[in-house]
Amino acid sequence: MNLAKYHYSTNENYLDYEFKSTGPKGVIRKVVRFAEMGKGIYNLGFGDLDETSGEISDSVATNNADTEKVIATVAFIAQNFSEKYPDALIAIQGTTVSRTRLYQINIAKYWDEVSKTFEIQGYRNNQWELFRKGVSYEAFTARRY
Amino acid sequence: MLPANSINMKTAKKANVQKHTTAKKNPAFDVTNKVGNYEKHPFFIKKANRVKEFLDKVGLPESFKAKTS
Repeated sequence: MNLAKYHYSTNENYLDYEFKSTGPKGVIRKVVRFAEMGKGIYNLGFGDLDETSGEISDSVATNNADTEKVIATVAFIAQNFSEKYPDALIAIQGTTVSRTRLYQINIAKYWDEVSKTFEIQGYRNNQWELFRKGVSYEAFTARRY
Repeated sequence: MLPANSINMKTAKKANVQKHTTAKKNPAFDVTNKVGNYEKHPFFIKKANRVKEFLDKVGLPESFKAKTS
């Protein structure tokens, strides 16, 4: 994927990732975690880390004028994770409807790149279906081909 | 003939270049123990529980079940 992204770091288990968002609000530490929910099924979660309190939050818009770069970085991280765990199913659901919609818009935006690596399914009308642009979903799954 | 210290300078310069090249080997990401383990962080536990509850309710995509069965 030839997109602008941040340099990221991971530890030896390739389940935790960190990168720094830089913009008008300063430097914000972002944390991504692939939490195993069942055998081979992982939830992709990410948020802003408050280095003082240790709290992580995704409830407030960061407004660091780099949303696309942050989303692209998370996409690269998902790709990196899937190289290490090629059979994993990654489940993604936003905390809110608008957050889920943001993911949907960005999957659609980078579809040409994303679809080369992943089979993406979306959940709507009580069933899973292959992701289609312009359709609203409640949640997504991604799995490496 | 070059003085001995100029040869040392060249060797040192070469060593620096090699060191620099090694550091740039993977500019996209690095693997370091400086990244914490967030397995037990309440934020990710809460998120995963919420998504797990959703998947328990709606099930998994058929294609995934077919691959794992």
